[in-house]
Amino acid sequence: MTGLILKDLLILRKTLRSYLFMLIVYVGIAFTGVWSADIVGVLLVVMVVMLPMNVFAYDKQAKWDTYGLALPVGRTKTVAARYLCVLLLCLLSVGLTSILGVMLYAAGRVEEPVEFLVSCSVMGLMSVLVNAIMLPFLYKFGPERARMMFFGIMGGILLLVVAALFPLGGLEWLKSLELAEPTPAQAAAIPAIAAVAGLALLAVSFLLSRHFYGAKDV
Amino acid sequence: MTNCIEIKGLVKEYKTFTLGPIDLKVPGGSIMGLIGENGAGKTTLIKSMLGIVKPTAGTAVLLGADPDRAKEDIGMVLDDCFFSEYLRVRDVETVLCRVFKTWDKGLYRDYLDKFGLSGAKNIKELSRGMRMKLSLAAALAHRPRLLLLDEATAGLDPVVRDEILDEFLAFVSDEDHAILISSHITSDLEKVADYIAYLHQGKLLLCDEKDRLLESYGRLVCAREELEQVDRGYVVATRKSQYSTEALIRRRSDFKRLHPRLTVEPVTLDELMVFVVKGEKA
Repeated sequence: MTGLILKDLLILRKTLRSYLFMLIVYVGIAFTGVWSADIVGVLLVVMVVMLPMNVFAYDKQAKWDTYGLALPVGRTKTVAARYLCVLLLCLLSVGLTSILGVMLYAAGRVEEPVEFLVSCSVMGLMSVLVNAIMLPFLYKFGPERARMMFFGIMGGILLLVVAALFPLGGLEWLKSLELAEPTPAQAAAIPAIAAVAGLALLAVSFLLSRHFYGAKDV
Repeated sequence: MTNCIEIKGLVKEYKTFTLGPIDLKVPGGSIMGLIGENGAGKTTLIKSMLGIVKPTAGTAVLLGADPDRAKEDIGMVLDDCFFSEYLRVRDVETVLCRVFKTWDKGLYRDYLDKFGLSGAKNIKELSRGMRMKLSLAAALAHRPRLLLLDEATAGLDPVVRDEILDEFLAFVSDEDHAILISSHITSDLEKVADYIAYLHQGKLLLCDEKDRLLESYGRLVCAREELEQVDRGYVVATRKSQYSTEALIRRRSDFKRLHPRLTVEPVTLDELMVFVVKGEKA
């Protein structure tokens, strides 16, 4: 299984390098104070969502699935390896965001470290959530159709949210809610809750993907 | 001699195509050539044997075991390189040495040297021939006992093909090893195969020792009137044109004794296929 995880990381090597370059640019901008530090977290979420899509597309291009199933690994372990790779990427993105948070705090660009920690956890959970939704689609429909469907679903959700907020007064209404700041204890619990929720989501998603891949004729 | 492949009643049904039922045995120390027109079911047969596509019915026993348990000892080469263009030649080893327990790093490097492949090279930069050699090196480096090759020599120049065929012959010099190779290049199979299986529209039409097959069948070229006088029991299929009449004859030596004045030439695998697909059934 480690061989398959390594395979995914190796074929992403070039993409990861270009993403790292983009990240450095964005971090640089965050340091100058032009953009908020939160933009880095958002960028990492987008990257972690795009990477598995790329792996599926590269695998399809190389007809890897046919060969992969001839290897002594089995379908369940093949899917598990992909999920572990995604989990690794999510953890990497949370880790990177946290390190950047510390750096930005040291540079005086982050005023509320607790808020940033909560923000990191939510971003991490978001990247897991999006992947947990997307991976079964990728296994069921393949990269091209799944990508279209995924963007369709995401676009649909966004439209629904906008349509629901519009009659209430949009973002101004959200701001007027004045949600209570979490206490330090609550803030400290948020990363743990996010981690448990993320793992639970991935587990359900894994079962679905395994079902789809198990029934698939490659 | 034990069988490396034993297929019994294998069927794979699709909406518009059905493979089988197929019964096939490949003894150890031998090469079986799988021939047939495009879409005859060769790739489906190989995929069904390995469980890459799930057979509708039947069983495949590979190296005396269930296919999933035998995969550690099977090497597979498809008609293209299945490694991503974004990998380097040495990355293949990084991945596969963790997949196969018996991966031999030294042997892989020996094959790379033998095939003139540099580990640092990007797969994207390799020619088709070099990619096929890489696939073969990867298929052989874990010391498999069974090789399943699907159009593995397609698109290669004769020199590279000859090198690869030599590898195959060296591989089956061990009585525990066997190869099943599907190919449209029947001259390659005439050179190395011990057995020939002929698939046509999903059905196994012929499966026999190659030498016996080529000795048994013959091509009769004669006048239309002469063909009408021969014993129809010998005629498998005929092809008639404005200028000539040809027939595929079975039991060639018996036929020659019966019709000494008619010329029956040895048949090639290509001719055999063309007669079966395009000839009129006798």
